[in-house]
Amino acid sequence: MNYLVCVKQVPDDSVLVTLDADGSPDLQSIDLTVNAFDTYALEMITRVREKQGEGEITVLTVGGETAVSALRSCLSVGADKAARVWNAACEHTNAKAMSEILYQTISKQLEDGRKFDAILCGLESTDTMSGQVGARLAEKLGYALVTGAVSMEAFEDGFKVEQETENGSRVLKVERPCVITVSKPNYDPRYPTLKSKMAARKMPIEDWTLDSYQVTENAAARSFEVLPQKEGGQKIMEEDVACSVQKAIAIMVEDKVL
Amino acid sequence: MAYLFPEEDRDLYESVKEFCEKEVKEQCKEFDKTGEWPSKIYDMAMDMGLHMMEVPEAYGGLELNRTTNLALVELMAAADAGFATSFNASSLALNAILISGSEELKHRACKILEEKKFGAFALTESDAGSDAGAGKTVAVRDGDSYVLNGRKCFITNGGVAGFYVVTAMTKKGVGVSGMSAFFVEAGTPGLSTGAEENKLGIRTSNTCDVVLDNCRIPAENLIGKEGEGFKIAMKTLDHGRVLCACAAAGIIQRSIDESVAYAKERIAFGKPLIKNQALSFKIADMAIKAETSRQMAAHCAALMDRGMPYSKEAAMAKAFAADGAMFAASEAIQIFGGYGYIHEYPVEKLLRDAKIFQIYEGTCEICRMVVAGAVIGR
Repeated sequence: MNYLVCVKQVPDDSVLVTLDADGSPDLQSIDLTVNAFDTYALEMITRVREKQGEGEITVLTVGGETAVSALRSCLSVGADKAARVWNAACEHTNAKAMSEILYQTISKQLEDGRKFDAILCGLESTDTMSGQVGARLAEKLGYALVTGAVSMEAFEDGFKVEQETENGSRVLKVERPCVITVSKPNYDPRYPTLKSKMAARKMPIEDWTLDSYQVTENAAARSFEVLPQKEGGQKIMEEDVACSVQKAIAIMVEDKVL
Repeated sequence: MAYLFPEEDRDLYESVKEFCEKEVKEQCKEFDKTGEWPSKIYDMAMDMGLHMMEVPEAYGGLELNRTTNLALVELMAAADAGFATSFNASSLALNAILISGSEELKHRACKILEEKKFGAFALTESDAGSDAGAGKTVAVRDGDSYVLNGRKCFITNGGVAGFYVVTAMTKKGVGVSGMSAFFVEAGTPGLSTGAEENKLGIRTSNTCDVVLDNCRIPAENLIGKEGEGFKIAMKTLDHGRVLCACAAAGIIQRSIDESVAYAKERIAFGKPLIKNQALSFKIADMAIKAETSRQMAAHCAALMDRGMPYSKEAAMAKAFAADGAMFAASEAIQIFGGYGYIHEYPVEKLLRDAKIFQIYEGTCEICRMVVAGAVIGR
């Protein structure tokens, strides 16, 4: 089996972002890291591979020179190969353009005889949070799509995927090849070992950049605003709606709202 | 920061930092209370390879750059000094063998570490602490074996080690030149351990007696030659003191981090505490001690890399950093005021953890004797 995990390098989301003088996010001083959802995707497929006892995992990113460290980080926690794409077309992309770049890059790899049984993406990136890239990519490739996976296993000629829903989860069976977007599973990604970190430094990074990309124009961010921090609220989630309503009324009575 | 490790090791530093932040720092608070051995944390740390940092590549280890190693030890100690102590004590035992052991012993010790076990260095006895030459443990040659008898005390990793480096007298009446060092594997008949000590600090580390009762070991387990035990122990401690200095620097840095965070939040007389110059000077003094400790340790690493003697410098670094850790932890409590004295806040533990650094691996007084001896001469 061959798996592809699309990863994005993002600013560390545990740091508060401020706007600089021209009103755009000041990201200079914020460390770059692999998008958390992409690390969940890599961990999930690494576990599938370990259980199956075979399979090759390639990580792909669209990013500049700094993105190499994101790929090396992936190589130290399960990925076997890494590829990077970068040219002028890749700068200032939105979700639509990104899915086009990924689609054209992956199509070329498929033409060249590569095969991916599953392509995994994080559910969304922690910086722009559009959550569109995986779905758009599946649409373009004509692959089956499962979003919000929290666990998966190889099953017959495809995968059994547990998908997160509003109130819990459901299990879907999906045939190969497919695109799966991954949410937070009930485990954390593994830590790299010092040894795997050192080994990852020496691994080659392939260049999958095409000579040119056809990227259509789409909405682009024109201004940014930092919203005030949301005050901690109260979550009401009782057994059923009637109980939830009762609880809500009880709280309002206690706080003298009613 | 004084540790100018190779830039390519930055990723190791970041990984270990993240691991210590997420898996060690908060978790160890609970184990500090109970005194239990946090086996899950140690298992995870060993999965990561933190016990193989100093092991030479030829013996299956990582053989990290010395300065990188020091920086990582500081990170580990900043998260929990007991956690770092377990690995430092293991390193002591390993280094005794790397310094003077046979090829065979080096392979055996490193193999045991690779199996995710600790080493323990057993020099101290109830009546022989700083005066190690007063040890009463004896080793008697009997054909192809040595038979060891005696009782070692305050042995870090005593109850959890896979192998021990034990010093014992092979010749009486000649003082320290009658001392020899031996490699003893856990499980050897005649080797047992006493009850775990209930300590003031570094409570996530294991400390107990190691008892040798007609413990028979093969003669090839002798490290170096007969009579070299004291010399080996002193060389081993020279190395250990550098790691101690880094661990103590970790406590100083943690004292700074906790103090700054608190002093920025806490309002008194209408402004954050940190805005008081008297208090900011405390932070500056702590930072001076942290950075100086690092520079002293890094200098030792540079001397080691050049194969130059570093006994005096290691003793200086250890004494300075240990005293610095006590100073910084105490000042951190002062900055926290009454809250600093309460278990629920993070700084009283730092003071309890810091104290041992003035005692183990050569008290600060012994370190000063080493320094004075080197400076004054005969």
